[in-house]
Amino acid sequence: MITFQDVFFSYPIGKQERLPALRGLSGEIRKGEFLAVLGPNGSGKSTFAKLLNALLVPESGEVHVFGWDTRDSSHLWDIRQAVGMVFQNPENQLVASTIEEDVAFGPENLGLPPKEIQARVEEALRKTGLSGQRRTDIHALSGGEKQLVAIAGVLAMLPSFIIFDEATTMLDSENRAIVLDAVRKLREDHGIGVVLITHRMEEAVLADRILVIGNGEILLQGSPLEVFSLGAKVRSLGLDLPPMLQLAELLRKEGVSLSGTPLTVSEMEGALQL
Amino acid sequence: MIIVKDLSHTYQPDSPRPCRALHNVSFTVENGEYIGIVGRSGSGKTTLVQHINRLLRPTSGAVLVDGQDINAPGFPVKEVRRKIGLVFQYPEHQLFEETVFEDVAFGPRNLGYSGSELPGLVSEALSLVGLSFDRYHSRSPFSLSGGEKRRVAIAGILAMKPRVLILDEPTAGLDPQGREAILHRLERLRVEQGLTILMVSHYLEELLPRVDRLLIIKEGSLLLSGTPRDIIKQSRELHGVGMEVPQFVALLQRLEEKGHPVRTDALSVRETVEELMKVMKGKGKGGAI
Ligand SMILES: Nc1ncnc2c1ncn2[C@@H]1O[C@H](COP(=O)(O)OP(=O)(O)OP(=O)(O)O)[C@@H](O)[C@H]1O
Ligand SMILES: Nc1ncnc2c1ncn2[C@@H]1O[C@H](COP(=O)(O)OP(=O)(O)OP(=O)(O)O)[C@@H](O)[C@H]1O
Ligand SMILES: [Mg+2]
Ligand SMILES: [Mg+2]
Repeated sequence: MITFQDVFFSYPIGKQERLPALRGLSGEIRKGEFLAVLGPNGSGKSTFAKLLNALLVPESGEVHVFGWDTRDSSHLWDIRQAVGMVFQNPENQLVASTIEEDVAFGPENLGLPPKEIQARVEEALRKTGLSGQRRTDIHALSGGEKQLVAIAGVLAMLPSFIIFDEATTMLDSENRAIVLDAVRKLREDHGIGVVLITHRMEEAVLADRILVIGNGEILLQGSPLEVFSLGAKVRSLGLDLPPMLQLAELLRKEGVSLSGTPLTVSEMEGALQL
Repeated sequence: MIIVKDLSHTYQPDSPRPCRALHNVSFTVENGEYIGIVGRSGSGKTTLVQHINRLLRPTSGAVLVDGQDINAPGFPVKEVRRKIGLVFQYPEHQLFEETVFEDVAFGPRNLGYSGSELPGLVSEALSLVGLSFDRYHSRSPFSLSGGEKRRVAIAGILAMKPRVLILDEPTAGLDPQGREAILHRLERLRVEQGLTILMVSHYLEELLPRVDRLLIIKEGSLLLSGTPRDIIKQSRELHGVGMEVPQFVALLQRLEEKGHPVRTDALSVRETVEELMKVMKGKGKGGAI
């Protein structure tokens, strides 16, 4: 479990000034949970993510990962191992020269026996559909392929939590579906908790819980249904409604009576009662 | 007008593992056209668009801009960059100055705009991407959030006032309202100034309602080219290149499968509403109407 209490964080900009990025966040993320984090550009999502695995530590307030205080550097290693992160820019985390070496880098650092490393790398490559390209040079990858390799690298670490910071933005829809499916399996098979930072509302509806950040504060949280039922309020927070709900909204304006709050294609099909 | 003719590109041609990224791609873009480019990750989209402003040189084939071969010996690269602006897939590859102001001013300065014109250009470009000049001009581009970097990268190209704008997955990282607003402003620039736009995207719903034509790239070749209306009907081909249809099309397709007389080639949520209203009227289910 990850808990965060009254977390404040600011960045130095210019000579004396500081830019407040997080202003008093509190909450928890449970193991096995699928949490989507939404919010406009610059609202503090990536900063929040970096505080969860001790890449940053709070200026005031506390973050605990399985009880370890992230400010206590003696547990830094345990925390990084427990909370894996796929960065918004995958180039920041690709370190080796081939795909296979890059995916093996994390497990090697965990000091696992070679057999276990190999098994994990195979599994991660298979899950992301990269098995056929294992010897490809990292520098020769397309933008989306880099994202996929970064994801494979974190999957191979089998952390207790994985944070995806807009990690699938450059994937084609098939690869996006593959990754989301791999995530679902990880939760089912290993009880891994997932934090998905995204600007795509159709991805957010897949989560158990949504956290909306605005201007460094938690503005809203709840199930996708609870959050998106708020309609106009969601827009006023800089977000949008998922596409099926946009459709429902327009249909209602045309006088169609629709039941419920359809968030997915299937739910919309049901609500239309055709 | 841009003519891409039999364009092929092989990366590392002399290495033991050359990568044939493009083969014999040919198409034409008219002035003022809006072209969407789609295809699987690694299919060659970035390689293709980087040839159009001469970041890459063809292994064979040619790119003609306004009738001139931009790879001809002695052809001034500056001429290409003045006409054709390219927003990189990764904004980080494009940002290098110490402040946002300097970064956005870099292109226009290089094109010979004078110092006194720069603040106006920078401020106009920043407002097109929804960033306040006052809040951002003195910030370091490296200390921005992902979406803020994306916006600055787009602004840097817009500030050069290119006649052709190429955007390589420009909406990755933009928040939903920023995405809509920026795409809308680009369309306005197209109408007002005759801007030609080529946009790469993995999100069909972004392209369908705005582009004149879609190009589908598959394994380095041009698989299909057509109007959005033509392309959206070809679910099988789209599926074959790893592309899902937007949810509103998926919904219409399901209704069609159930035997409802719906068209499945809607290009937007709005058109889907019209289509659904027809079906409901047919069934006497139109509610208040
Ligand atoms: N290294 C840094 N130095 C100074 N300011 C920063 C730094 N990183 C981020 N900021 C600022 O902190 C605020 C929060 O940034 P953060 O990256 O957490 O936003 P975000 O919600 O992830 O946005 P996006 O959706 O654009 O990725 C922004 O105003 C940003 O400009
Ligand atoms: N610098 C390079 N050296 C060698 N091969 C490369 C290089 N850049 C790209 N490639 C290869 O060329 C092919 C096409 O890459 P490209 O970047 O054009 O794809 P893309 O369609 O833009 O993909 P994405 O949607 O992931 O951005 C890929 O197989 C890629 O691995
Ligand atoms: Mg971010
Ligand atoms: Mg690309």
